[in-house]
Amino acid sequence: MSQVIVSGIITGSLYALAALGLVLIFKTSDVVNFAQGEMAMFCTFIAYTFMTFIGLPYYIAFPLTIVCAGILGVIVYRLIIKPLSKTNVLSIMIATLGLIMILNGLAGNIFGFETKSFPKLINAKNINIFGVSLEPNSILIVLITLAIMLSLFFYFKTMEGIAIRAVAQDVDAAKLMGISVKRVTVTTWIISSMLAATAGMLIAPTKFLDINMMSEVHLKSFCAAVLGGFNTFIGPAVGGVLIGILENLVGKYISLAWKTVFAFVLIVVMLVVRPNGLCGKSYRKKV
Amino acid sequence: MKKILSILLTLILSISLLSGCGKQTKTTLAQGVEEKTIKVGTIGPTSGPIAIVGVPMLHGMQAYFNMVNDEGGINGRKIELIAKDDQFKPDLALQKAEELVEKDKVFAIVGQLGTPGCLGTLDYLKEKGIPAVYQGTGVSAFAKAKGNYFPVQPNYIFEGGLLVKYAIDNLKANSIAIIYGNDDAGKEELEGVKAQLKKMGKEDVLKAEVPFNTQDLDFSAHVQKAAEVKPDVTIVVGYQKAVPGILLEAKKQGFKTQFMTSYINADLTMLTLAKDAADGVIVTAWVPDITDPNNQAAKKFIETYKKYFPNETPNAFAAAGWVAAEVFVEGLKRAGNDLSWEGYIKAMETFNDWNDGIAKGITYTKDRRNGVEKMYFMKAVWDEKLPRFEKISDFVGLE
Repeated sequence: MSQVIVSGIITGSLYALAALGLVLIFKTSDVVNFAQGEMAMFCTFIAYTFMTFIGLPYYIAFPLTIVCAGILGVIVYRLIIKPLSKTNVLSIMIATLGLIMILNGLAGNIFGFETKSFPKLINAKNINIFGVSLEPNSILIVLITLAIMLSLFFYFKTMEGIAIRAVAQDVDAAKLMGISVKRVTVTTWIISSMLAATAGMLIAPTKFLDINMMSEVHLKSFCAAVLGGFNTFIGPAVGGVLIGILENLVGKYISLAWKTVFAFVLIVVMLVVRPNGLCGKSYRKKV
Repeated sequence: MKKILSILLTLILSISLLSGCGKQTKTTLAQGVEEKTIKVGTIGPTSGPIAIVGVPMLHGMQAYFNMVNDEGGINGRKIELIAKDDQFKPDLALQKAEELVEKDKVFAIVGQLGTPGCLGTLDYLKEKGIPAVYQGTGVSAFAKAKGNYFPVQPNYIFEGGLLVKYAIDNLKANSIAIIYGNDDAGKEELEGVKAQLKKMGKEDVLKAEVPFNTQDLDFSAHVQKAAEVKPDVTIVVGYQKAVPGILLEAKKQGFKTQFMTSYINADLTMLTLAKDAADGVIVTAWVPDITDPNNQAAKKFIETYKKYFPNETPNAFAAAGWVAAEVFVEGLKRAGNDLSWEGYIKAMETFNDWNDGIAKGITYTKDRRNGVEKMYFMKAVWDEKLPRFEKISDFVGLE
C-alpha cells in the first residue's frame, strides 16, 4: 500500500508541476492557457535537440532551454495574446486551443514523430525505505515542484507580484497607478513558458518524449488545478497529489480498468461541494 | 436559385449514376488503372498522436513504390499513392475511404493503419468490394471478413495463443500473469491466451489478469497486482509507450519474472526507452530481423528507405509499410493485365506460403485470410552500445 501511495505522490507532483504555469496565467489574466502542455512538449524537444544534435551536456542544455522557453513565451505573447488583448478572455482561450494544434504539428514536422528517451536529472540507484522503492530522481522532482510552488507564492507578495495581481483585477486602474500593463503581461507569459519547459523536461524521463507526451499529463494537471483551486499556488500541488494517490488506491483495491473514471467522478463531486477547490478562496470583487 | 441548384444536383447525381452503370458493363480494367498508372489509396494517421506510427509506415510504402516506379513500374504502369490522413479517427477514416473510392477512384486500399479506422471502414469497403491489402491492426475482424480483404499482420488472438503456448511448452511456466491494455487489441490478446489455455487444459495456470488504460501514467498498482501472484511468466501487451513504463516500474519494485510481450514492441524503441529494465524480455516477431546483415530482403528495405528518406531511421513501422506495398505489388504482378477487382482478388488467392518479401509464409485462399501464420521469438538484450534482439526460436505456428 505504501508503495502505491508514494508512487501516487510522485505522479501527482508531475501533475502539479504542469499545473503551476496554468495557474500563473489564470491568476494574472483570467485566461486558461490550453496550450501550456504543448509548450512544455515543444521546449523539451528543444532541450533534446541541444543534447543530441549539438551534443551539449544536460546541465547546459537545461538552462539554455529555459532561455528559449522565455523567448517562446514572448513570441506567443506578441503573436497571439497581444493582438487579441482588446477582445475578450474567451477569444484568447480559443486562440490557445489553436496554439495546441500549431505547436503539435510544428513539433512533429521539425523533430519527428518517434518516441525518444530523455535523460533524468540524476541517475542514481533506487533507494529502499521501509520496503518502498524510490528513485532519487523522483524525490528531486517532488522537491523542485515544492520549491517552484513556494517561490511563486512569495513572488506574489513582492511589489512586482502585487503589480501583476493589480493588472489582473483592473487593467485601467493598474495603468492609472503607473503599472506597465504590457510589461507585466509579457513577464507572466515568459515565466509560465519557463515553467512549462521545466515541467516538460522533468516529465519526459517518465513519460518519454514524443509529441503527445503532455496530452494526459496536461488533462490531469487541469483536474489538479480545479480540484485544488485554480487561484492558488498551493492548490495544484494538493490536487495533483490527491489525484495521483486516489487513482492508485482505486486501481489497487477497486478496479484498475475504472481507476481514472473513479478519480474524475470524485472530482466532480468535490466541485459540487466546494466549487473553488480545496484550497481556493471564494473570489469576491470589491465594489 | 434554390430550384436551379436542386435541378443541377439531380442532374449531376443521375449522370454519375449512369456513368456508374457504364463502368460495370465495361471490360477488364477496374477504376484507377490507366495505361501508364495505377492509383492506390491509403488511410492512416499522419497527424495527431499516432502519427508516430503513421508517418514512417506511409514512408515505408512510398519508398517501395518509388523503387518500383524507378525500375519502370509494373507492366509499364507506375504506382501513384494517394495518402489520406484520418488522425486515428474512425469517422474521418470512413469519410476518407469514400473520397478515395468515389472521388479519386483508386484501384485498391493498401496499408490502411489503425484499428479504429480499419474497423470503421470495414462495412463500406466490403460492400464496395475494392481490394484491401494489409490492415495495420491485429484485430481478427479482417481475417473473418474474407472476400476483398487480405490482412498480413498476424492477429492478436493468434498471437496471444502463441505467447502462452511458448510460455508453457518452452519456458515451463506454472503460473502466468497478463497485464493488458484495456482496448480491442489487449482484449483479443487476452481472449487468445484463454482460448489456448483451454485447448491445452491448463486454465488454472493463468493467475492474474491486470488491465491498464491507454492514458495511464503510473503503473505501480498494476505491477503490484501482478507481482502478488508471483508468476513465472508475465505477458504484457499494449501500445508502445505503456510497455516500457511497466517494465521500468517492475524493475523499481524489484518484481522478478520472465516478461513476454507482443510484436508491437519488437522494435528498438522498447529497449531505448526502458533500457536495462527491458533486458531479457521475450517478444514475438513476424518480420524477420531487419538489422540482421544476412537478411537480403531487409537490407534492400533499409537501403531503399534511406535513399528516399535520408533523414529518418527505418524502423519496424516503416518495415510494415514496406511489407504492405510488397504484398500488394506481388498481387499486381500475379494479376498481370487482368486488373479488374475480381481478377486481382483471384491472383491474390494464389499466394501459397509466399516467402519472397520481408514477411514470410503468407497463404491466401478463398477462406484462409490470416496473413502471416508463423512467428518466432526473440529476446531483448540491453547493451549500452548495441541494444538488440536475439533470435531464440525458429518460426513456429499454433499447430
